[in-house]
Amino acid sequence: MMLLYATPDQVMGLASGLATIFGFLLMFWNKVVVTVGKLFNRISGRPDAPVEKPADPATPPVSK
Amino acid sequence: MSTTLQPPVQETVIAPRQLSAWELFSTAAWFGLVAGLIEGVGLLAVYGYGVWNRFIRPGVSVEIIWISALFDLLLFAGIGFVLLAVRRLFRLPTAIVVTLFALLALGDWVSLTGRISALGAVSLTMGLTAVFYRWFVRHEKPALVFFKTTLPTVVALAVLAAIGIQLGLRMQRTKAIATLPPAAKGTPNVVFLVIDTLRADHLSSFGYNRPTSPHIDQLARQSVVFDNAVSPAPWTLPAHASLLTGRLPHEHLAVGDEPMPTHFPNLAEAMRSRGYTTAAFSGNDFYFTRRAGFGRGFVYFDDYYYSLADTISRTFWGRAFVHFSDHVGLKEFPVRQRAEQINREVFSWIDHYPDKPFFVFINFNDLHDPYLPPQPWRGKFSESKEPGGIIRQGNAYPDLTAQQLQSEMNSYDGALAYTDNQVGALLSGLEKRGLAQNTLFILVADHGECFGDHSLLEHRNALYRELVHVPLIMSWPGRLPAGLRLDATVSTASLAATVMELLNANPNSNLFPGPSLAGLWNNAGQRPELPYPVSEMAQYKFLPQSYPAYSGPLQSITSGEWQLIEGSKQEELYKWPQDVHELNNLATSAASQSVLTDLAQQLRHRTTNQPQTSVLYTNRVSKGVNQ
Repeated sequence: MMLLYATPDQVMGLASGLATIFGFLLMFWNKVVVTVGKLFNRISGRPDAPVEKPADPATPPVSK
Repeated sequence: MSTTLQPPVQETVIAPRQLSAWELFSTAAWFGLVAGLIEGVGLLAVYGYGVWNRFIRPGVSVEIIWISALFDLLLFAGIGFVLLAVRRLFRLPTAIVVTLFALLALGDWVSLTGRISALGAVSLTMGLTAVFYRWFVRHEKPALVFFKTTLPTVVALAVLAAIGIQLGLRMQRTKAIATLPPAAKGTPNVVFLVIDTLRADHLSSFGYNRPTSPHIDQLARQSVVFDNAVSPAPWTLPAHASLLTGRLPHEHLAVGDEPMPTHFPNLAEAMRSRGYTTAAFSGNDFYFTRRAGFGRGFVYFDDYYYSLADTISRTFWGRAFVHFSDHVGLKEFPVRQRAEQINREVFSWIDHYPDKPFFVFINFNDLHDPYLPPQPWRGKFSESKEPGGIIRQGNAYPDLTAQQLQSEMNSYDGALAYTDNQVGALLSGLEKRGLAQNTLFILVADHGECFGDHSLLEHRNALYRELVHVPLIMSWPGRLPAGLRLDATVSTASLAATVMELLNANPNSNLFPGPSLAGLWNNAGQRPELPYPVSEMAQYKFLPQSYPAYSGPLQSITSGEWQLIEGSKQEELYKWPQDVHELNNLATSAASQSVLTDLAQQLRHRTTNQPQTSVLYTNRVSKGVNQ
């Protein structure tokens, strides 16, 4: 991102656009990762991971 | 392959707690100082040294590092107070408070270059803040310990920066003065006063029908007065560059909003090498500044931080407020450095080094739009107490009624009367110190101003006479003739060479092309042939399309009888002594063709006989340097 600051004036519009997208990704990256994963699974025909169906909040998280 | 399930919501793991008042303020101080120090370094790089930024506004110097730190410390502490009050009404978890400080710091750093759009900056700031928040809720305790334990180091760093910078500047100045070559006893002082935006025909001594300038008129009676001095440019940056280097705009290339290239020697350097203490005092903190390239040769340059408001306005948050100030009814924030204050600074400098000859270069900027001189001067020529104030940057080129236009002019004349009063104060200050007799005093303007002439407002838009005809008065009791009025058409670019000749500098030094104007009174009966003054300006797109400079670069040459203006659209030829307001274009008149051809040839010769610089100039304009 820092490199974009150093780009010529003519591409600062592009840099601003990338900064906007990058900012949104940072804000919602966990949701984005889950959504992208879900989309990938749909396309590849794999079932969604169990993480998409949260268990009872009282149940402690487990690793398989 | 194993799949890891993430904890549903990490924030719930740590029970929200509130910071104590001490913890809150120490955290605010930590973030304020860190944000400010990094901001200061960033501002210095971008707006002081031009990293990622080729423009000259707004300028800063090295002091901005500790100024930003101090300002952000106070700002964040103030926010701490507000949060303390809010906490009485609502519960504010630690993570929210600390993240708010982080948000302000990150927003500051992301946006300070001004290179990415507001949306991009806001989005990136929010994104980085979200990352910080997620990190902080997981590491709250060690993070708070870190802020607490490193606060003394951060405070020490800020204090050291402030002391180091101020001491360093003082030592630099002391060393510069100590290493000046010795000047002969009785070496004359030089005061070079530029009145920004003063059109000659608004001075009483130049025929104006209002008593705008009693002190300048008095000075004129004791001086050499050039009735037809022409500025090489119709705006501050190139005009000042020409005054100091003796070069025309196509040579010095200070033609856009970028710093002046530094390849020509300037008058301050020449004076310093002759043992003068050199200082500049600027009321125009846009274009006559160190950032604009004028710092060379000056031991001291007073351009930034002249008031608390100006100092604040150079920090990141202060700059944000400047953009907002218009909406809260502040017509001018910060208020420019007034001539009165400049005079105080000038005499403080002069009094500090009583044993050395001085060269002070002063810019009084009280005539520049918006026309808002202090009272009672603003209402001096108006029935209304507060005339003017409509024409101003950001609200340029409004459609004005005749009454509004007159009101603007009334205020401008009031500003001139104020400036004249301060010229009187400057002269009497020199007199009081016994310096007047041994001081070469030059009063000149950088350019004029339009008040509806040729359907134009302000300046930096054309090369008509109201924009390039400027007053030029030179006084040196006993050394220059008193009360001599010269009607020769001269260029103010000749002043650097004139000063050097008057000080008996080596005439063959060839520092400034000149020619010197001293020959106009030194060689009795034999006036030298001076080249016709040339004025130039690059294309400027921030104008209404009907303004001449919008369409392309302009060049002009002025003889004793004629002014030829060449632009991309048309040629204009005026017989200015008869047609004072330049209303009758004779360029297509058959009777004027020989004059036009002759002047056009001379203009070509003067502006294209230096191919290297001319090519540079053309390239710069064609690349849209000024857009």
